[in-house]
Amino acid sequence: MIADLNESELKIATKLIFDGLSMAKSSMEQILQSPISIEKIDYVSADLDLDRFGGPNQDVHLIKTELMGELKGTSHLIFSEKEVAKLYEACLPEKVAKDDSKESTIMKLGFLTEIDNMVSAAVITEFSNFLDVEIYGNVPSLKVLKATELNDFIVKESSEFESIIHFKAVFHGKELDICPDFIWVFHNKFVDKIKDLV
Amino acid sequence: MRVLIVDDSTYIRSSLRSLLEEQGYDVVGEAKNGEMAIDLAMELSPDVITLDNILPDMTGLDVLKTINTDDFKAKVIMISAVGQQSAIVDAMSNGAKHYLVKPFDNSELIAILKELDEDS
Repeated sequence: MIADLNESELKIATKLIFDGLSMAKSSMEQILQSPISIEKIDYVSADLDLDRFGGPNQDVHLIKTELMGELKGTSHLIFSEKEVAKLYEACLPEKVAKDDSKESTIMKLGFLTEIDNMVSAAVITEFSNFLDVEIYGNVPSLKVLKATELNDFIVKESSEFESIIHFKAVFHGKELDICPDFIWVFHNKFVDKIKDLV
Repeated sequence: MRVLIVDDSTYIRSSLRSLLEEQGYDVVGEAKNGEMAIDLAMELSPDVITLDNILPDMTGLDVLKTINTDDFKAKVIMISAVGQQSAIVDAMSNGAKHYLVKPFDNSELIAILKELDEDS
């Protein structure tokens, strides 16, 4: 766990995580063509604030990327149903955004997974270059869950690893009025790699 | 110029096709995985291939290594969210002409295509 790091190791880890998330923020800005800020980074709890999803039975879009290579882990980019609608309206051609045909639906879902692909890849690139490890993200997958199922889903995902480190960022797009959550779960080898650097 | 687009994302394939066709390029095919990419590259003999690095069945680098033979003339632009230095070096040393990290400005891709067109 991140608590296993001493002060100087923790400093490196938090800087690396911050740099990775900053790269992700920049990628998101470029994809969405709108300013994005990092509202909050939480290194301790991966629990999500469910209030923002507008009710326990609201649909939530979770895009997951599995980390492959020398470090194991997963990233989860999470949007509320309302945010997804806003993204489609702002970023896709009107004929696609307002159309429910199979073709347009595939395009919309592809757009969401592509956001995750680029945003998680930005973090992976930063970590890979800094820690000198061969890692890459697998093809992203999208799940639509009820808001109440989210925290259990993340806990279940985390339980695949014997010991974990996680961190969570809340992004904020003021113009688009979105606050997606971005959660990472890593196998504890991440901590070993940080210790190796010191 | 005849272009083959290789990407597992329908959204990216469609966006690239629109961009390239708007600019007057002839998109001769689309492939959503590595096997299809290799087959279409051989069958269609495109001038340029835009090649994603992470595909469902193999990596873009595997595709590049397979098609990069002496009698294969297509120029390959790797287009990937994977931006590690090692991935870029591997791609370039295996015959890729350019490596674009997603997200990128459309003008970057068009500039590269113009450069490749002038070189040919």
